[in-house]
Amino acid sequence: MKLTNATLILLLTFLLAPTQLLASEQQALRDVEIGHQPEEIKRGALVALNLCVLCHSLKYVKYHNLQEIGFLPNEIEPFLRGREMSQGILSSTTHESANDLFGMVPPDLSLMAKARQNGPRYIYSLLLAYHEQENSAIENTLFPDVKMPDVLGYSVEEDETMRLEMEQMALDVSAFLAWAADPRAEERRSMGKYVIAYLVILTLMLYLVKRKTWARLG
Amino acid sequence: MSKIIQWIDQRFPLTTFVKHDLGEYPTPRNLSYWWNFGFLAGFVLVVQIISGIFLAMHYKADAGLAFDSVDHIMREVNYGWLIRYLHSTGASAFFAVIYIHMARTLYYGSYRAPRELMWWTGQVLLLMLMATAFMGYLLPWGQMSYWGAQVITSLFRATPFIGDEIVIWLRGDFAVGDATLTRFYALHYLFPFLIFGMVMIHLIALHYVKSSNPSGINLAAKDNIPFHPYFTVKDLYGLGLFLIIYCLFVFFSPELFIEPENNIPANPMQTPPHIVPEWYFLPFYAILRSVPDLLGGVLAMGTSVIIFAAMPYLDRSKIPGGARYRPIYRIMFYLFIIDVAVLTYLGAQPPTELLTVVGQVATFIYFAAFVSLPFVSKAEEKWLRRRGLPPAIEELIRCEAQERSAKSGK
Repeated sequence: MKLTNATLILLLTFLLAPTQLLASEQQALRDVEIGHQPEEIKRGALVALNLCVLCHSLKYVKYHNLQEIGFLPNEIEPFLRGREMSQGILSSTTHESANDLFGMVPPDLSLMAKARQNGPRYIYSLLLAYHEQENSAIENTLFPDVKMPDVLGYSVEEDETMRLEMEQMALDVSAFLAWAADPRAEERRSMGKYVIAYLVILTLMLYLVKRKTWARLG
Repeated sequence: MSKIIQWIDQRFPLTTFVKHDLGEYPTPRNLSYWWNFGFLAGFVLVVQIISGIFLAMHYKADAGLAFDSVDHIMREVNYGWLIRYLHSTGASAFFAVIYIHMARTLYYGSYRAPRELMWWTGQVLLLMLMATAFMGYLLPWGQMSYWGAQVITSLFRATPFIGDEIVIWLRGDFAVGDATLTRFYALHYLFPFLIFGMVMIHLIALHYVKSSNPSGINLAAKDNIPFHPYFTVKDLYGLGLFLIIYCLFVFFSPELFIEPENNIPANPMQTPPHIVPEWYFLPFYAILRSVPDLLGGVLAMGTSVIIFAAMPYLDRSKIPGGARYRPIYRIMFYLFIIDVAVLTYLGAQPPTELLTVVGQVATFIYFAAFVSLPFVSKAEEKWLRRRGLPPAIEELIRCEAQERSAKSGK
């Protein structure tokens, strides 16, 4: 009984730890499941390389890393624009012209999915949070001061099929950025299963040894 | 082989040490699983030192390179993500284990004579651990790293007369910068070894006064059993349980202990909207914020950590067994734990008028628990004795007295 208590307290302490996470304001994020499938990530990568990279960099993701999500070298080549496979993905807009355009350099996206609470869902929601106001100005309701324009054109699109397609694009990009921020997540989780299985068996055996040893005391 | 050992034994007490302090070391047989946590803390210290040394092989302590080098560890170093997550989760595990270890000491009154020095060396260890964790948190050079260090070092401005000079001296610059990063790195590498030395002192004291136990008295020799194999196997079983929980976090939720904001490189020009310390500092941070005056707040925060050292003198009751046989003390213990939980919650919240008041009440209760203890414990003892102690406790007190006279008789 004492033992379960100890374990419980240890668990509770760990669970209490992230109260600071709960504390951060709960924004109205769209309720969506971000995929982990290679094809979703690859589709998202294509959207990112064709669209996001016009302004944003992904400097910690190197071009050759794209092979990990199913790109062939000749598929990557068109995006290199004179850079090496071993270099990070840089934006096609220079810092100066970005500064002229937006008054700031658009943030690097490599870690964006980890730099926000519920990052992937945040990115998905942000991309679809553009709405046309009465004065026909377009505003982002999730992040009103965002400098980024409505790149997908979601706010003005009326055709339902096109809207669904845009939602799919936003979903794919979020899946890609989630991978970009944590490319070892899949490896980590699959290794974790073996580690936990091993530890459970080991602990069980240690428990039996402990019981047997203590039984000598009567 | 035996010849070699014989040769060593004539020059160094190897066999005697192993026999006395590892094998036959007499340990109370009634220790519960709450007595596992000291061993676990030692284990986590070793994990932190080893994973830290491997991280240091790839980390660059330079304001221009630090953030990139951490990302390099996460993406390109073989199993770098594993080493880093072991280390970042290990910091939280360390505090969790230490806080439980302290709570056990408070609950069972293990700080009482003759174990005051155990408690005080433990207190020093806690301070060293906090300093190490704080300095280590700057190293990833993310936004929260930077601004956390900025806020905490600026607290020293409260020092009378030379406040500003102290802050500059600590940072090595007018603001947290490269000079701060490199010195924190040097000290973050040094401190674990100082902690290791302090742990040795903690253990030498332990092996001199021996473990406390749930009954709260020093048990007669017949109630002690050799450490090996009974407690080696019990500690290992506890370690297994600990590792399962620890690895669940390392492999399945490691980012839980890393603020999202810290995945943004440090930017001295932009303050994050909401600066929060790591969870293990939250109660003390809440106390700091509850006092409107800076100097007062810093003093209150410092006192809230070191006030534990006074426990052997604050607790005046002679009834053994801590909270086990003392209903009032037990209630105080649980109220205190709840109060700390409330402070932890408040420390993470952006301050509002209501929460500030709640924080002040919780801070008052925190200190009131310590200040009232001498009177409460004395009154409680009187009340318990008047009511008549349960025979079990009478028996314990008698046993202890007997044991003591037997010893002095020798």
